[in-house]
Amino acid sequence: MSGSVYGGDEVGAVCFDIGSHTVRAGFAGEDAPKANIPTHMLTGDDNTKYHIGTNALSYPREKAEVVMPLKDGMIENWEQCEAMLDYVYSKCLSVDSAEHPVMMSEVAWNRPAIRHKTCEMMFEKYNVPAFFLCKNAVLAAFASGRSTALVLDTGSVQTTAIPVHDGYVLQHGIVKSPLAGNFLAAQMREHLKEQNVEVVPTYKIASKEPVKEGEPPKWVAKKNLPAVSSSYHNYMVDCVIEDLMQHVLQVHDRPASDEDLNMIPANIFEFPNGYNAMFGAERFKIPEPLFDPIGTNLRILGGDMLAMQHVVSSSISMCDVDVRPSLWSNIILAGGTTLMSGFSERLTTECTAKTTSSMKVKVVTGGNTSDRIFSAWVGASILASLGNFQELWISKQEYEEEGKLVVDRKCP
Amino acid sequence: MTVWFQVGRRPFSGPHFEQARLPEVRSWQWKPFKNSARNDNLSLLHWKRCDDTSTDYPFAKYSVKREILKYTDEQYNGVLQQPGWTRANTDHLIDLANRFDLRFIVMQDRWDKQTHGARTVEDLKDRYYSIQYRLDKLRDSESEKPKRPLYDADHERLRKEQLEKLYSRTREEVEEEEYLIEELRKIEIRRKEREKKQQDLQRLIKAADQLTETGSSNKKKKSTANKKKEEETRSWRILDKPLNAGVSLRSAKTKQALQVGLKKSKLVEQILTQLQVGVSPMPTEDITVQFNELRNDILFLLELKIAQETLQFDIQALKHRKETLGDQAAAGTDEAENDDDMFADTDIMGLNLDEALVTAGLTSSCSRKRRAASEIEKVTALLKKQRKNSKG
Repeated sequence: MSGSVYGGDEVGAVCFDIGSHTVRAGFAGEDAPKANIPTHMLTGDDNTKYHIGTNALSYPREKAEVVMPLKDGMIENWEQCEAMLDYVYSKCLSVDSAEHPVMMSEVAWNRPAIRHKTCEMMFEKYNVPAFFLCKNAVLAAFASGRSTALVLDTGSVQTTAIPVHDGYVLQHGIVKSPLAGNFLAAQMREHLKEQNVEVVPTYKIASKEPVKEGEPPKWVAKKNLPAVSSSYHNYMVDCVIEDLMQHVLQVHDRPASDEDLNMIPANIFEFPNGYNAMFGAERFKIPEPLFDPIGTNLRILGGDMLAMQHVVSSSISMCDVDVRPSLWSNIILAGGTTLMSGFSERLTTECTAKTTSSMKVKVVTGGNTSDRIFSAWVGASILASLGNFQELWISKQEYEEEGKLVVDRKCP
Repeated sequence: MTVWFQVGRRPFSGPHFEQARLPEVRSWQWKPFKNSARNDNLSLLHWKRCDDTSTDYPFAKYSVKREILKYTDEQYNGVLQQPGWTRANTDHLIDLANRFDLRFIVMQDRWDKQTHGARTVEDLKDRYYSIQYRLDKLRDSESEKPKRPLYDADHERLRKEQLEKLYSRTREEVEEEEYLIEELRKIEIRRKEREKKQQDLQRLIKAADQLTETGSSNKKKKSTANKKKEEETRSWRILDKPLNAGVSLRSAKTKQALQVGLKKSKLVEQILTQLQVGVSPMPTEDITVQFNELRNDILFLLELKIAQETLQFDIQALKHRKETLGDQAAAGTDEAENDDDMFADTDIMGLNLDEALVTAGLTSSCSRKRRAASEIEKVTALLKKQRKNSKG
């Protein structure tokens, strides 16, 4: 028990962070999750109901549909969720769920019914000795050593700004916007369509030959491919587009003119079928709507398309006036889309422009990229391995005495 | 070596390594524990040192729970009733306080608006602290303990309102405010400068007055009191100060530097040459005194000239401003022009000192200026005479 020195005490807890893009799972006290697998899964036949994991997903199967257990960040399909947890327990962690307490993240707007059911599932099906449910924004704040922060989570489906005060989410200050990764992917798809670039997913390609930039690709298609579902094909195309976005997209540090953008060197990207092209100004133009949705022509989304800085400022303005300065100076970025280079710099610029000079604006970015991708998981890992935290678990005994509603009392 | 201490085994054998007696590594065990901070019998496993005999969970002592107010039905019905707050509302408040350890901002966020109506943070604090105050009063009625002050909700509301206003200023408003403050500062500086200028001018006028007064009487018969007074007014240059201790030549007095800048002393020397006095006259006692007087006077005239120039510039600037303002040229400007004309022909010994004299005219009366001019004439004449005498 050397833990008293640094306040940590490892109890072998397992942490789950189930996001709409990937599921992160691992042991508390470690600095990175053991498993980071796609949340999407393939439906199977009667023997194996679901095919889970990156490898299983890249293997084309006849009529297999791509499904996922989440909707709007909340668990919707319990069967798929259980399949996912089974897979993680047996294949990734190789542990018996009854021996390890479980810490799980949830979205800040999670519904009580879903929380109850999650709690029920963990105790009834997985027989865990103890369980805890924590808001992912709180965990992201903990991961960077803060208990008060504004967490700007720009994931794949949506962007949310969640104010966290003293380790509690301020529910009234949550602001959402659909401008996030999927929106950028849609913009990118539009752009490729305009350029007449056909995106061929990896599973179709048997072999390819190198070609010069911009020339038509030379590739041989795989023979005897099973008749895959359209959802599978779309998912695989999305994977390529995601890869492309990660490579080329960049945020300019201020709203820039076309001349400025044309001055910046272009990036080359090679598609799976060998076609390669340069991406110049559009590298910056595609993510620009994140900060300036009005100035660009949008065709896809409806509703309140708030730019990042507006999401931040409107969220903060809904909080008590006394906590606003500490929120402005602790803006934490979470989610994969914020990894785009230039994102944090641009956000700082835009937020500074929105506040008076007396207000200190600081955008906190984790030390390295893996910290930011896994921020909620890392927070869970830290929290579950703290000595002080051990009294907060919902124990099996408490669950049996009070029923599933105990989660409302114990997990704020 | 230190690495192997941690691993706890001896990797090498042989005499050299045998010598180092490695201590045994303390062993650890994966053991179940119970946390006394918990109300249930949850037993989790953690690593514990085998020689650690403590029974309690080491972190249990950090579990500190804040004491939240409790009240009985009797107390509530007796003293705690308050308009606008039902018993259910109050119970909800205490429940939230228990759940969130008096974090009022979080409590307000989780406040059940539907059942209990919307409340602000100040409302919650006000109610909570007033309950606390009343319970304290009830308990302390026997003993005369000082009461805690009440929470001033109105003041808090006002403070937050002001803070809100402060934060909701636009960037332009802040910039304007900063600009205005800067302007105010500039105006202050200008005012101070003007006052200083005026004071300098006053001093010059005073000095000029004295020069004319003393000039008419015999200088050598000046009383000591008079001399002292003069020194006060002419404090900006002193020539009569004693030389260094010890024996010195009298001519050293004529060589004594003026207490002004190099530029001005050069100018004085130049004028002295123009007056055909020269920079090093024969140092008889009379001449030394007169020479220094002359130097003082030249310097004084130069000061007057400078003051006059600045004034002229000011007049020009004011005139210009007046014109741009579209006003009619008033009598004031005309007067200034007249003054200029009146003394345009004043010329002393070929020196272009008229401008300096005009200043005296502007600042005091015309006659005084003329007297000052004649004084200069007198002094220079005297000097010339004396030089001739000494040559002879």
